[in-house]
Amino acid sequence: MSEGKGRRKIFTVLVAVVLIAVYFFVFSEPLRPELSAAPRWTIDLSASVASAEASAQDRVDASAVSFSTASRFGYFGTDGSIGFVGEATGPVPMSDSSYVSAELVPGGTNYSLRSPVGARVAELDASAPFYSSGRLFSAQADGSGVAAYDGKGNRLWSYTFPCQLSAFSAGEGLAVGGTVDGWLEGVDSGGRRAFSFAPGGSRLQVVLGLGVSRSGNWIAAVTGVDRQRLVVLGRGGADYRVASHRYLDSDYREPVRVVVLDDDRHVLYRRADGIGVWSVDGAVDELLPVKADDFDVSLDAERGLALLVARRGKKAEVVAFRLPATLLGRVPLPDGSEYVRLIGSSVYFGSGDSISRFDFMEE
Amino acid sequence: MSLRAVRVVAAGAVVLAAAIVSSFAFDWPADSGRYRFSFGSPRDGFKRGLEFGSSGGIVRAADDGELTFAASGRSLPGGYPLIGGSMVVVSHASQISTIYAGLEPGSVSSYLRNVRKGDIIGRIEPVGGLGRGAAFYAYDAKERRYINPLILMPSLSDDKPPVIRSAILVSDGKETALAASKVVKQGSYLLLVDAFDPSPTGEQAAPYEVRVMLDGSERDRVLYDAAWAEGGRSTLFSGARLGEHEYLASDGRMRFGPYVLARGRVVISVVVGDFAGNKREQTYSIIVQ
Repeated sequence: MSEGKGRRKIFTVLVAVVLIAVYFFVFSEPLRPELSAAPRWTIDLSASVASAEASAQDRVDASAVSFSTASRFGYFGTDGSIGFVGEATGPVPMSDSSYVSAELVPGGTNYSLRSPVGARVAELDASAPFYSSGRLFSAQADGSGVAAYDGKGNRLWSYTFPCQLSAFSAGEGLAVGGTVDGWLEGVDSGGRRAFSFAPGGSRLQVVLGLGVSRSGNWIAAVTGVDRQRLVVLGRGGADYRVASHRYLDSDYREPVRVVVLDDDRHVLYRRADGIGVWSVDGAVDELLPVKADDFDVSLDAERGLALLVARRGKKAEVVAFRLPATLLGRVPLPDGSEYVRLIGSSVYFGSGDSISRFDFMEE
Repeated sequence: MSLRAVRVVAAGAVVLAAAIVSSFAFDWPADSGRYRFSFGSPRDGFKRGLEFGSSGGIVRAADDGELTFAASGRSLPGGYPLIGGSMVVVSHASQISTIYAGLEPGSVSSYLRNVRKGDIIGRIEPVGGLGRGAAFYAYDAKERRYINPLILMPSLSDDKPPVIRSAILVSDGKETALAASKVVKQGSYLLLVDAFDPSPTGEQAAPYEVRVMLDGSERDRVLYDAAWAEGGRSTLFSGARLGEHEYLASDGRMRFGPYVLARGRVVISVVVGDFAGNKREQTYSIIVQ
């Protein structure tokens, strides 16, 4: 690289960092005095595109974080180092340990499982691969089934649900499908039916959204039309039983985000007036006044801090709060932030050109 | 209750459900019935609905009902892909739901609540790239099974009979084509039938009925009327109740049998029919040694 180009790149990155810092000061709602958002770094992706077959020196360490935008995908380190960046022409199924590349061939698509450095691990016999909770699955072509794979691309099992899925989520050793006729059906690590349950209680039956805890011990779902209902199931021996439920005022006829936090206690779900916070035993019933069509959440258990990225149309913001629903502050992200990832108290966001990191710090 | 009795009851349930719905008959949801693939066509597994492929065509509600669910975009919140496009579910009377999948993202009429027959549901996602055309399913929520939509909609004019491409006996992995061979060894054989019914667009769609007869006696009959899943396993046909993977080979051929063929002359007949009643029959006379 010439000296001039190197200076331009440094200048571009510096300007981006300054703009992001200014953006936080100008546009964000004030954070609580004990909390601050500190910019860490910005990566220029446009200068980092590698071929899909990465060279040997393009290595990422065990802290590799996957990212995917409309035009680029790859991996970076939490310290701002770049692992592997590839050009994308569509959504790329990714996890922090592998991704799936697609090649259009006459009559269909060939899928390959690849490592974070782009090395081919295996050909994948799959219809529509995707990741859920870091596990690799493939959807059945008509949307009514799922197949699970191991880290080497071997198909572990496949399972056909009675009808199309309207919701899906997975935890350790458990995958759950919610069907358009209102049933929840769980599949264990051997591909056997773990449970089947129809929440009922509504005029029309449908599962609008569901979340499975990372541990696989809890399942939360928003179900039904007229009236809508939040139902939490807990593992009880070999079966799952209703642990708590409440009726909702909403009338959604579309997918509804439901998340069970890693603390195995709190459930977040989309409401018309914000994001509901519920506890699996029903003791907590609070509201975060954050309107979102979709959201993701991460928990920094050590600090007792939860971060939430709320998306509404093309707008996205990061909200810091303490459980159950004490709002600490919100930071809007720049328009066009296609990628947002929360890890602990760190926020990674960006577009096809750059990725930045900032951390929430306590004074 | 004997297995046969169970099958009769199950078949009766589908006929009853179809009769209830037929009393207010669904309309064709797209393109005047010009579907590409019918119920049972091998489309990355047994197709449990109809598939339409007209680029940019309109999909309309098959009957009055209520919109229960509409998912736009490429995936559900948990990452599960919406293959080929968006999906809409409409609930009708008698617990029948119609499911419209493979719709162009952004075209879905998700604002609808009470749906009238003929209301626009969305546009068909063009075939090619991520698009696979639109799919239409009729689902009986009470029995938790798909019904062949052809049973529920106005009949189409069709004078093209199905095509039987081949019938092959298989024993210990060895295939013997019936058309080419007149002599086989005695033993137990599976029969692989390669047959299709030309769809209105000229694609190789599934037939509606397949019968296998040995020496004039019916040994197997499948009617493409219903499909469902239980415990993760896909099951086909209310009368025969066959596992999908036992019936449908990966190359789309249909598997029948096993039949024990004893020494002597055996006449094997395969009859394939479509929904309009057109039939094609192939008879093979073989010597079993």
